[in-house]
Amino acid sequence: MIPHEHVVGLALLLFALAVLTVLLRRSLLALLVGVQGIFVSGALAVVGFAQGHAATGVESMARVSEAHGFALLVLVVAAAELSVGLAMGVAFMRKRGSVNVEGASVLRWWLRHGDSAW
Amino acid sequence: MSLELAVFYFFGALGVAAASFLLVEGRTPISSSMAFCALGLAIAGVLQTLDADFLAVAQWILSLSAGLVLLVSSVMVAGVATESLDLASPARVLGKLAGGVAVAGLVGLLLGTMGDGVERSGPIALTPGTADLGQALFGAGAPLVFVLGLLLLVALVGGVILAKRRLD
Repeated sequence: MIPHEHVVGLALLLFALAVLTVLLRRSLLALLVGVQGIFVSGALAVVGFAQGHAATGVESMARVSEAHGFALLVLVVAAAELSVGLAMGVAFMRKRGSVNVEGASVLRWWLRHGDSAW
Repeated sequence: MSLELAVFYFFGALGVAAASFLLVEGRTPISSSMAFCALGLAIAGVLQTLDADFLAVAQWILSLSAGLVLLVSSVMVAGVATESLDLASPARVLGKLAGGVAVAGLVGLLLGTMGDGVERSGPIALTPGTADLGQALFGAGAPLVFVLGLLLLVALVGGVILAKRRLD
């Protein structure tokens, strides 16, 4: 049996690294993967907490199942975010020819060039 | 230290290494995709050690398929196919590591499936099976599942609209 403190600690470490990636990196794909890491570490923390409560006898099987179901739904939301983010990234890479988001503001770019440029 | 704990630490260390690699070295699309695959596979391995089998398989499929889509789209759209990939490049080493973990995880899942039915000694963990998970999802959580299905449909349509190329 793996101590749930270790699971939650690992989730916290991965969450911190993913947040740092989102804040510090300027590559578009690194940003997407960082946000994905935030979602996944959250799901891992949910599973770890559910396991901890189950080990102490506080939670029943139905509650643990609900926690796992909630983690699965978080993974689904992460997949949806990745698909939309990747589509936005493809459009961005076509326009800019680069994955560097430094100084990029599509709205300002659109205001300058108008709708015909799209 | 039990074998289960050692496997947990191995996958945890791999996940932390992949996330750190993404933070420090994720400058190119290929290295970012490889780091994503390695991170997802490590999380799937951690979930497998926690006896969350269904979640592990879902994460396994998600990380491999999404990582492949990331890699292919970045190569096709951003034109990074000419990016140098020498044998000692970090992305290539990480890709080999992710491939090794994928094969090891697949073997582990197969062995775990073959081991079903064997009585285990020691304390019985409170781990839900697929039937319990389905009952939780499609019982009280059914409205949430419907809403998330709608969200996935909207994301699919939005992704197609955003990524389509105008030919005029």
